[in-house]
Amino acid sequence: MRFLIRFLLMALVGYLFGSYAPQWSLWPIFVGGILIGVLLSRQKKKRQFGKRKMPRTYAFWAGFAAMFLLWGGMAYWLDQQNGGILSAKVGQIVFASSSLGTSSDIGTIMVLISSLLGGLAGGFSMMTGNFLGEAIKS
Amino acid sequence: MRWLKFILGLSLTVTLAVTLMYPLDIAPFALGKFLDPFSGFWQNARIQTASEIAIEGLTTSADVTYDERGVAHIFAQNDRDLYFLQGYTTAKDRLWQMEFQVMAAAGRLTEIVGRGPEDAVLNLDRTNRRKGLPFAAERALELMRQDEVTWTAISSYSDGVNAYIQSLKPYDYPIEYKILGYAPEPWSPFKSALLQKYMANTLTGGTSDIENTNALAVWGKEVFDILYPEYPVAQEPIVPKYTRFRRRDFNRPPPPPLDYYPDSLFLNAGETEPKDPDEAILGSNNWAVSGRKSATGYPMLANDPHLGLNLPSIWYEIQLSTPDVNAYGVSLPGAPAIIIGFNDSISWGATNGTQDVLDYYTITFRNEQAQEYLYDGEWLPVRNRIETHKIKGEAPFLDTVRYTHIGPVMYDENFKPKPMPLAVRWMAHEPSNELLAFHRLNRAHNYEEYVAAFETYLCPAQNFVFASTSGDIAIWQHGQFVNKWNQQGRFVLDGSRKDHMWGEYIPREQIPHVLNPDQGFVQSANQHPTSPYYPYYYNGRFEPYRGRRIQALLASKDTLTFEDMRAFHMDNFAIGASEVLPTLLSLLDTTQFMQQDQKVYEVLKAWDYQYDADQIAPTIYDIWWRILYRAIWNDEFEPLAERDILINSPNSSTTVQILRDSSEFTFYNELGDTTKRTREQLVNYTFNRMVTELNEAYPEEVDQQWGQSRQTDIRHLSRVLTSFSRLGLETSGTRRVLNATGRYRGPSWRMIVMMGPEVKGYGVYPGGQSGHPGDADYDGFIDKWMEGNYYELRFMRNPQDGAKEADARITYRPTETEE
Repeated sequence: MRFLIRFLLMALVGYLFGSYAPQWSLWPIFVGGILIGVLLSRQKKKRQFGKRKMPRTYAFWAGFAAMFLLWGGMAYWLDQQNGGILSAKVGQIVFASSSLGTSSDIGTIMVLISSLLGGLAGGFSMMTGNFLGEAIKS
Repeated sequence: MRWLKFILGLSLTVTLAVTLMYPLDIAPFALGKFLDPFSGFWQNARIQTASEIAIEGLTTSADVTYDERGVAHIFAQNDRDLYFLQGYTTAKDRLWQMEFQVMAAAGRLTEIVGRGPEDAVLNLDRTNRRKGLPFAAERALELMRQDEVTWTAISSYSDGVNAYIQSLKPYDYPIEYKILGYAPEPWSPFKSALLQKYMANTLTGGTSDIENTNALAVWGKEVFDILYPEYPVAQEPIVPKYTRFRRRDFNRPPPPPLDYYPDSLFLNAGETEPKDPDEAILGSNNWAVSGRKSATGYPMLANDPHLGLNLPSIWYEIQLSTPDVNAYGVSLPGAPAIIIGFNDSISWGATNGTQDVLDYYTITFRNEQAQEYLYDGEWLPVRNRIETHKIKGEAPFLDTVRYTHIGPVMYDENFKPKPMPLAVRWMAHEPSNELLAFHRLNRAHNYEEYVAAFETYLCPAQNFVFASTSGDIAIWQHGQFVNKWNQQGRFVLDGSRKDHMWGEYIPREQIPHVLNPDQGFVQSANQHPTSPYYPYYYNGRFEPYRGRRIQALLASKDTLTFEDMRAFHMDNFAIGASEVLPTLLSLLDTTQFMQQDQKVYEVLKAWDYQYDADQIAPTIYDIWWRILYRAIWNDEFEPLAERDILINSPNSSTTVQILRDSSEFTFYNELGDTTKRTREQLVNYTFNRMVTELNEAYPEEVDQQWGQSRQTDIRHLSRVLTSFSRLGLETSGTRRVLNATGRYRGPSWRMIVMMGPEVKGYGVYPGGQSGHPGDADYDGFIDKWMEGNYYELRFMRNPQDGAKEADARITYRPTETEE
């Protein structure tokens, strides 16, 4: 449940800021991810030694999955709109000096790279928020 | 412990944030921002649709219909709105290109890309500023401000571009801005003036004054005249040979009394590579056929201006319509009006005039401070203009340019120093209003209005061909020319002498032109505008072959059709090869031939001198010609280049002439070799070397077709974003044939207009209307262009005229203002 709430909140922040304040790019993700992480961190009960129900990695994966899917989905949707022409050309520029640059799937690779970057930003920020929450509440 | 984890996590997150949100060393953009699908490059893949847009600045509603090829047909109610929407529409498709070209003209590229490897970009910027491009644009703007019609056009255009820029959020910026990491600036009328000077520089910014001066000093007058003849033996000038021009009260000035050639000046431009004089040849053709010679009974007009081929294309197709004008054609992104095109009554096209209108003058400074210079026995003060070059990521670079009454001192101790400082006098520096000429031309109905339109047109001089439905055909080399003394401006001039200055201008009715000649057609192809009997002196880098070819083709038939026009555009016949190859082959010693020699010989012997993409002979001939050319000239010219002496080896048409006519010639000999080498020995020797080269490259059989061996690259304007380019196109043609297609240059717009009660236009250019690399329209015309086919141009009478399903119409209306 907590995973789902984290996931949905992260995706919502990403979508709203992306749509209405795109110029801030990833900053709302970093800040928002940390805040969500703090808010939804679990207060540690001192007696429950070695029985953590919500390990920090879950926080990471919730943020990661939310942003991975949001950015991946958005990039994929835009890519479909112009038949992958642009992603192929940009991919060739980004990977000009590697063999990837000539790959026919370079457009898909660009979608995956975007997803991954979004995912990392979401994941790391929420993990950090969770650590902070745990540290404060302990 | 928990705090430690938090601190570790935070530092990881901060590192990630910094890595993603700020540009790294490897790229000018921030990775995270660039790949962000909400604001980065992905947004450039978005399809935008709107059928009604409100914009501030329009006076009344106007329609723009985009046809199935993405050409905008603008229907406005007045000139103000027309040019406003031309600016808006052009910016929508070509914003990055418009700005980049103008940044180049302004000498501001360092702001975008830095100083470049070995200061290459900074030096290019300094060259353009020291040559006075911004200075010239400022002067032109001042003049244009004084004319109400011009100012309405240029300021409305600018307002339109700015209305578009203001509608953009950073995530809407064209992708090049995102990759190079900068943002568009507001447009201004000054930038349109700069574009005008950018074109003047492309078309008239070159000169051979320094090279000629050096060549004269190295070889002496006698040899110089053989190597660089002023007028080729065979020629078909633009104005038919026996046209009379002389006017009793206006004469060519006498040359100055003393020897006027600067002597022993080994001027080094800081460029050490030997220059192939053919390399820079652009080459354009145009012609008009009278109704008498045309299958339709009405005149036909054809034009194919050849320029450097880039993506986005130099041309932007557009239709401009108000109740007072309806014109269709190509425009330059960044300037109002149509440059080449047609309207209901007339059509027009342009080729470069190619006359030398840029001259260098030596400057004698009084002392090291270089604040006073000698002129006519007096010391005159210079005016200092400080050019500030902002450089990306660095402190600005300041450059002081001294201005004399002649013009800016381009080369001095601070920039590519020469033995003497050189000032530049250039027609493009004259205050002029070319824009008004195009505005009036778009609205002209007949020959008289066509001629009158060019009253304010000075530079770059172009051969403007003309045809009207009412039956007139004509050609004028519109532009302003100086009445020079014989050889004036062919060599570096002396800036301290009054008699070396530019004198009067040639009266307008005396510049080369012809109306309705007996032959039933007019033509131009960058050749000499007149025969040597023209009363005034001029020089330039003229093209000897294409004019002859088009003259012969147009004269070959009594009646010409659209299909003929099309075939002439794609004509690949090489006069040069046809003139010299039979001689070369006849000199070969065929008794010594091996199998491979025989094969090569037979391919060449069977060749029809056509540079078709699928022929093998041109591949072979091109290699042989290169070896032959170098065997003749390089032994003499390379040592000069090594000594930093800027000099041109003779061009290929002169080389053809010499090879055909002279069996013995000093330059055939290898330098330092005392035994004389005859033409026969030279030809056999180079043939053998060619076969050896071919054997190495093609051990089995020479099977590489011309299209594969030459190839054409249409490069993205940035040169570096190769996936935005179209490279390795297998095209027909070569320089000095009508279809003058080279590696980086070629026909930039092919147009045929059939005059008549209903004017019909056909055209194609190697690119696409959209300047956005992600759009299907970005390079969609290239295949058609390569085939030598055209699109039928939709010359619409109203926004719904001949409506097709693929059309998209946008109604622009003014924003409601509070009364």
